[in-house]
Amino acid sequence: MLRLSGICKRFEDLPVLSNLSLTLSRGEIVALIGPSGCGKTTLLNIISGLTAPDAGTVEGADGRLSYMFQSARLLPWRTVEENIRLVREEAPAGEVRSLITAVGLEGFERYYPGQLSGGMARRCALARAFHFGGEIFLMDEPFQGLDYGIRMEMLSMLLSIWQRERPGVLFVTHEIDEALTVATRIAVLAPRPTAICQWFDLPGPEGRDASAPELARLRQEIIRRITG
Amino acid sequence: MRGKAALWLRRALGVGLLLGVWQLASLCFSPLVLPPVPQVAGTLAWLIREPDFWPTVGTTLLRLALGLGIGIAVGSILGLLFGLCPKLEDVGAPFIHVLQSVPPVCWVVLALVWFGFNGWPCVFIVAASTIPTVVINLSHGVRGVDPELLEMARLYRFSRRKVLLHVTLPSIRPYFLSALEIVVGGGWKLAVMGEVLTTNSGIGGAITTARLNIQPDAIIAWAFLLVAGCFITQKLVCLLLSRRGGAPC
Repeated sequence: MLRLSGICKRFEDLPVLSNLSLTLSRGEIVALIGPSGCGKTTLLNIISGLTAPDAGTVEGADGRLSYMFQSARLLPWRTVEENIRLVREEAPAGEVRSLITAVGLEGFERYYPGQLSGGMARRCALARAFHFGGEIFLMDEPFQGLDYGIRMEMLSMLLSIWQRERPGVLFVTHEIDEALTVATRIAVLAPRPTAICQWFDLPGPEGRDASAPELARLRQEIIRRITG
Repeated sequence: MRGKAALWLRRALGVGLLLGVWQLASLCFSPLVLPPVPQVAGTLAWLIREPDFWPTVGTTLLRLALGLGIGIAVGSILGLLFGLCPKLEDVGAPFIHVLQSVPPVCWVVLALVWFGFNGWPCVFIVAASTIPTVVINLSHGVRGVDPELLEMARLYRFSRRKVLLHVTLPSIRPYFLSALEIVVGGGWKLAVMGEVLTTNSGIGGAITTARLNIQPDAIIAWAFLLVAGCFITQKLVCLLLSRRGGAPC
């Protein structure tokens, strides 16, 4: 289980995170919704150990941890297949193949990232993150800028892969529908300095229809909280 | 295809202009000062058919290859080390600065004292001028590796060897290529200069002989061959290294 308590971070004079605490258990998908520039990426960087917090503690992040960045960050000189395989070379080749199929990239194994569209590169990065595996998945606006169809397709892909291993997923987004579709819990963040201003629990199972009437009230509340 | 043909046409025009101006100028001077184009072309054809043409070129090529080989090997190792460890670079910077700013003629004279009239001074000056170029390019390249890719490698727990192999080395390839292009071009000039000053063999030796016999046509013919040699080796290096993946140079 991942446990953050009292995380504070400032960049020079700009306070970014203020006394932020949250927990994430295996099998949960927690969505963080907040205005852009509110420090969501900083939070993920702190969890992954790329950035040190000024105060507060991070527990339970020392095991295997996959991080899907806002950009795909593929090695331009390695093919799709090599990019995925490289993060866990000891795995049998069949595993990489089945992941490539799962993200709909079969036929593109030998392509270089420069030859892929943005959406395909993200899908390759998603496959890479899942190939690496681990108990915690951090995803930083992984589907931002993709069109609606691909986004929904990738969300269901995320769910189907997640159901195999059930890691804890922390998922940063500013699309309420994405969060309503897959999350088990949603945290709405206040603008800088950021802390969680409200938690919302969602009824199971994941993979809901975000436009279902029973979610309408929840959606209204989240919107009120964000614009509040 | 049309665009390519037009490109070659423009290049041919450039060469034609150069030859035209030269031919016109040669009309105003004695052939001992500026020989006309046909005379140089004839000398060039004669040179190539001489029995000792290939041994002469081979000698220079061997010196060039040795100097470049040593320079590139030492430069690559130092460049990588400096790029990966900035503190080491602080220590090595004066060494590189000295290699870079001491003029090649000083090196030639010193190398003559150290090695004698045996061709090694040529190898030495080529290596000495190759090292700083390679070091500077590679250390800049290493420091220019995309920090986002390095973060990715760190999070996915790449070993040091894996980072070097899959992130650092492929990233610095363009820097390495541009360094190679520079040092191959410069190497030819330095090797021949070294030969003129310290030996009587190789292309430099042939140029010295032409000077003693007052044959400017032969000197210009050799200069042509040097231009060709430089062009061919640069293209060859480019071709060899731009094969696998990535964009050609």
